[in-house]
Amino acid sequence: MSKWNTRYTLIQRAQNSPDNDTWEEFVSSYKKFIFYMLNQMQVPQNLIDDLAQEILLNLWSKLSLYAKEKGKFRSWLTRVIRNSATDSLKKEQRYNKRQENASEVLELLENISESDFEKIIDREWRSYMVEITLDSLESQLSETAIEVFKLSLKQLPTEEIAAQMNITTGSVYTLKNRVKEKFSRRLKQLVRELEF
Amino acid sequence: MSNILEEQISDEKIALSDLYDDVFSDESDVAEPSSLDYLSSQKDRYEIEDEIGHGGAKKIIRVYDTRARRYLAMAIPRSKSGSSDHNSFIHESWLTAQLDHPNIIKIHEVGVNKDHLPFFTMDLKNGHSLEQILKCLANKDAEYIERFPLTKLLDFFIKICDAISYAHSINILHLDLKPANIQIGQYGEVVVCDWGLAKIIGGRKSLNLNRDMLELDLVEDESPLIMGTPGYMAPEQVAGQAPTPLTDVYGLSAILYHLVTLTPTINTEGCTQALEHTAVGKIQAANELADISDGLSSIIMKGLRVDPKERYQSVLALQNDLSKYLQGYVTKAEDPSVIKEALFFYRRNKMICLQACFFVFLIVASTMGFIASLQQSWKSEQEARIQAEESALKRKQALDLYLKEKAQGAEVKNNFADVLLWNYQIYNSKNFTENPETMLLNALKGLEYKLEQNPNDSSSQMRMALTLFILQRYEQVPKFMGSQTELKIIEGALKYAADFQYSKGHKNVPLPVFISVIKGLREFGYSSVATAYRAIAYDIKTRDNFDNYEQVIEEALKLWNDHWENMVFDYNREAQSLRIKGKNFLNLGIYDQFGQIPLLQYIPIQHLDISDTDFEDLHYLAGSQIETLDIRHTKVKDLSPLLKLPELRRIILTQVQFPQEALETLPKTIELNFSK
Repeated sequence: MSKWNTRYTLIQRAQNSPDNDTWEEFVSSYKKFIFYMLNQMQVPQNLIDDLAQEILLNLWSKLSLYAKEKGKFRSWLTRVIRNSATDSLKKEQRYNKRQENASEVLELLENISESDFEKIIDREWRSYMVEITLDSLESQLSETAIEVFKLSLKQLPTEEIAAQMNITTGSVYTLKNRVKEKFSRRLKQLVRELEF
Repeated sequence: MSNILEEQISDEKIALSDLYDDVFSDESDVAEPSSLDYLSSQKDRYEIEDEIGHGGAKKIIRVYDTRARRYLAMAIPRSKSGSSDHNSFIHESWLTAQLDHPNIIKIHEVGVNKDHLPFFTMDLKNGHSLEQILKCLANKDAEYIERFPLTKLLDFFIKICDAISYAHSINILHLDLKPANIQIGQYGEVVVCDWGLAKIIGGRKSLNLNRDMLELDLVEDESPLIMGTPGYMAPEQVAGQAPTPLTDVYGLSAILYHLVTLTPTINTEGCTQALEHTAVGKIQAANELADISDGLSSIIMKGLRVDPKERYQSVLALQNDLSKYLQGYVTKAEDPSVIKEALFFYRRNKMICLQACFFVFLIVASTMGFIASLQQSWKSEQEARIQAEESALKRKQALDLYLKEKAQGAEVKNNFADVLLWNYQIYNSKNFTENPETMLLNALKGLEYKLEQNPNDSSSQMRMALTLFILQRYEQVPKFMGSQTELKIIEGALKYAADFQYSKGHKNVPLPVFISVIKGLREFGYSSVATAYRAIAYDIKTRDNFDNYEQVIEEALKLWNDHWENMVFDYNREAQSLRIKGKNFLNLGIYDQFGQIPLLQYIPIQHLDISDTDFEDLHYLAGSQIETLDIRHTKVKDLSPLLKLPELRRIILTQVQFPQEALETLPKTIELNFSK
C-alpha cells in the first residue's frame, strides 16, 4: 500500500510532468477501453483508429485543465468520447455521404440522452476495470484459486464449487474470501491509478 | 451484434459492475495485514494432517508448519510411557541431526509437544521407498521397468554409498540399511532415512565440545538385543558382536544384491531360519538369479562375506569397484594400433563383446577339438584324448584366472591381452596349421602388450622369443632370450642363422638360412619337433618359391625319424625321383599332436621309391604328383589314400603284400607290378 502512497498516479504524472514515457503509459492504459467502446458502438472500422487517437489526444490535452472537484472521471470520459465521436462522424458524413453506418451511429448518439450515455460508459468502464483486475491476478495466483473466485461470482453454492474443483468446502470458503480480499485491494489500486 | 447504445444489458455485465460497486461500497480502506502480524499470530506451529507411516517405536505424521508455511514430516514416539523410554527416540533425532548430506534425511526441529512427548520434524518426501520400487519391478510392472532400468538403480546405489560414506567419515554407522529405509523422490532424489539403530563409534579427534558432550550422552549400555532386519543385517550383528563400518558394507551389499536380482539375499519364511542362514552366509550367488556379468556378481558377493575381513574394507572401496565396473576401464591414450581399436570397440560394446568372445571361442574350440579327434587314427586318438583333457583343465584354469582377474580389478586392458593370447596359443591349437601367420601376429601383439605392462615377465619373454623365432625374425630373438630351458632348443639354430648375411624384414629368410635353422633344431634332438613343426608350417604357408625345398624336407625327415639308420635320401631333380632307404624310417612328413603336414607336395616328384623301410602311412603322399610308387617291404596296410593321387599310374609291390580284395579297390588305370 505504501508503495502507492508515495508514488504519483499516472494521472498526476500526466498533469505535472507530461513526458514521452507517461504518454506511452497513458495510451496503453486507456486505448483498450476506448477501442472496445468504439467497436461496441459500431463506429465504422475505417474511422476507429483515427477516432481513438483523437479521443486519446483530447483526454491528454485536457488533463491539465481537469480538477478533481469539477466532476467524476467517468462523466468527463463520457463527454470526451461522445463529443469526439459526434464530431468525427459528422465530418465523415459531410465528405462521404455513402457511409450509412456512420449516419446510423450518429443518429443513435444524437438521440441518446447525456445521462443514458453516461450510464452505459459507467457500466462498461466498471466491468472493464473488474476484468483487468482479474487478468492481473490470474498471472499471479493458482488456477484453482481464480476459478473458485470466478465460480463464486456466478453465485454458485460453495458445495457445488467444492465438488467441481475437487477440494473441500473449507478450502473453497477460505480461497473465495482470500481472493476477494486480494481482488478488492487490487481493484482499488487500479482505480486510484486510472480514474480521476 | 447489436449496438451497445441500444442493447439490453447482460446479466454478466451487471454482475461485474455490481462487484465493482461492492468493492467501493465498503469505505473502510483496511491496510493489508503485515506478514509480521501473521507470523506472530500463529500460536500452534504444527497442524497435524495425517499419519503417513510408522516404524517399530515411532510414527510419522504429515504436519503443516504454520510459521514456515510448508508441509513437513513429524516423528513422535508410539508409546506414551515414561520419559526415560524416550531416550532412544531423542538420541535418534540428535544423531540424525548431526548428518548434513544431500542424500540423508534432514532434521528441522527437535522438541517436546503439549503432551510432553518428544518429537522431531524432517523433510516430507514425495515418491516411493526403494522397497516399493523393487517390489513393483519384481512383479514386472511395465511402467516401473521402463522408469527404473538397472543402470538407474545402480546410480541410486552409488548415491546411497555417498551418504553412508559421509556418515562413516564423521563416525556414524547406520546399522539398519535396507530398501525400506531408502526414499526415492519423484525426480530421482535418493534419501537415506530411519537412523533409529545408528551408532557413533569413537576413536576420532574431537570436532568440538558440543559434539563430545553429545557423544557422552549417547553412550549406552551394551544391549544384548539383536537389532536389525533379517536379510540385511550382517552376520556379526546376528552374533551380537560390536558393529563396525564393515557392518554397513554388508548392509549396502545386501541392498545391491536386492537391486540387481530383485530378490532379497535371504528369502526364508521364518526369522530364526533367516538369522541362521545369515550367520553361515547361505546366500545364492547373484549371477544365478539374474542375467548379470560375473564381475558385478563378484562385487556383490564380496560385500556379503561372513568374515568382515574378507569384505570390501570401506564403503569407498565397494563404490570404487562398482564405478570402475560401470565405466569400463580404458583411459590411457595408446599408440594407434589394432589393440587400441579393439579396446575401444570393446569399451563401447563391453557386455556384448565379452559374452560374444567367450561363447564364440568356447564353441569354436570345442568343435575343433571334436573334429580333430575324429580325424586322427586310433593311435593318436588316445594321445588326443589325454591332450584334450589336459587342455580342458588348462582352459578351465585360464578361464577361472581370467574371471578372477576380471572380477578383482576390472583391468579390462590386461584381460584383453590375455584373451588375445589365449585365442592365439601357437603351441596349443589346431588352428595353427591352418593359418599360422594370423595366429603368430596376433600372439605377437598380445605379447607386446603384456610386456609393455610387465617388461620383466619371463614367461611372456620366453613366448615372445619363440614367436619371433617361428616368424623367422631371428635377429630380434636375442632381446628376449633368458635362461629358460624352453629356449635352449633354439639356441643352436639361432647361431647358425647369425652366420648368414641377408636382408631383414621379409616374411621369409632365404632358403639356405632356413635350412640351417632346421638343421640346428634337428641337432638339438627330438624335443625340438614342436618348434620345428611350427617353423615349417609357417614357412610353407608363406614362402613363394619352393626351389630346392627338398633340403628342408631332408632335414625335417631326419628330425621326425630320429632312429633312422643307414639313411638314404636321394632326390634327382632332372628325373624327378626320390629314393628313401633305411631302417626305422617311418614318417614321410611332419606331424604334431594336432595333425600332420605332408611335405612331398612342395617338390616336383614323379617316382617315389620307399621300399625296405618301416613306412606305413600313405596319407603322407597327399598332394604330390607321383606316377610311380615302390612300396615293397614296407608296413603299408591301408591303400585308400592312393585313390587321391590322380597322377598315379604304377605301383610296385610284392605278391604277398596285400590281400586280393584290397588290391581290387584300386582303379584299373593303375598298373600293379609284382616283384620280389
